[in-house]
Amino acid sequence: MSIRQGILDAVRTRLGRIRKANGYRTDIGANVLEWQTAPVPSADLPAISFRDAENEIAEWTMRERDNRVAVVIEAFGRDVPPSTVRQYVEDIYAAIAVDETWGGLALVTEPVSDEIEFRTAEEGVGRATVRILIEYQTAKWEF
Amino acid sequence: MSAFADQLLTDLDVFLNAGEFAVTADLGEGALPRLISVIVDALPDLVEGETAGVRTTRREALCKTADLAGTAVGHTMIIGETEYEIIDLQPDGTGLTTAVLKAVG
Repeated sequence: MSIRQGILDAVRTRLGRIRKANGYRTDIGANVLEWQTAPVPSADLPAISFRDAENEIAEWTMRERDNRVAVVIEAFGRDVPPSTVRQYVEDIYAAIAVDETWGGLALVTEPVSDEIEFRTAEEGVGRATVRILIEYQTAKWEF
Repeated sequence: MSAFADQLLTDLDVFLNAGEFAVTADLGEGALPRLISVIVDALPDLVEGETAGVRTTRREALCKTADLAGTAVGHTMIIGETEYEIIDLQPDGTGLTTAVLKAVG
């Protein structure tokens, strides 16, 4: 398994820990989605979704490569007030802070940005987005 | 108003008829019902994010504008067993108004 796959597996596991029973403020970890392509029915919320996208090669030598993979994490809630969506952001940051090396696979995790948004239809949908960069090192031609 | 426009307003009752396409909605608050006929549409709606989209519904009630006298955004409309908050009122200028609804509770 590649280092990147190991990191993303750890991200998935960590996000799934975001439950009130584990000391977090919300239960967005009840439904973790990775690279979700089909629309999620609103009845399945709250949910947390993530995807890894661009990997920037920060530096390389003849033997090694420093990678910075961008990961976007989004939490969705149904009929939730702004205070709850802010708690989604808080919980995501708290989960990352547990171990920002993802079990020693990464060097560090960098916060990039966060935002919240609401959409009102028959039911209100609140969305919190957190963007991070995970830095990790591989052999020059490994993933 | 022209004769044609007058006729259109009269004909609205043909469509907004609980025996045809419409259903009965209650605009009343508390014990006194205020019943009007509305045509309800449930339109699929997608809330798109960066990593996923959420499928929800945009529910609208087509009403006669005259029936909504005194009704404003924030008031409630009860259709069947469900109570809705009116989150927008969109008059079309021909005697009809679309009430955009959000389920309460």
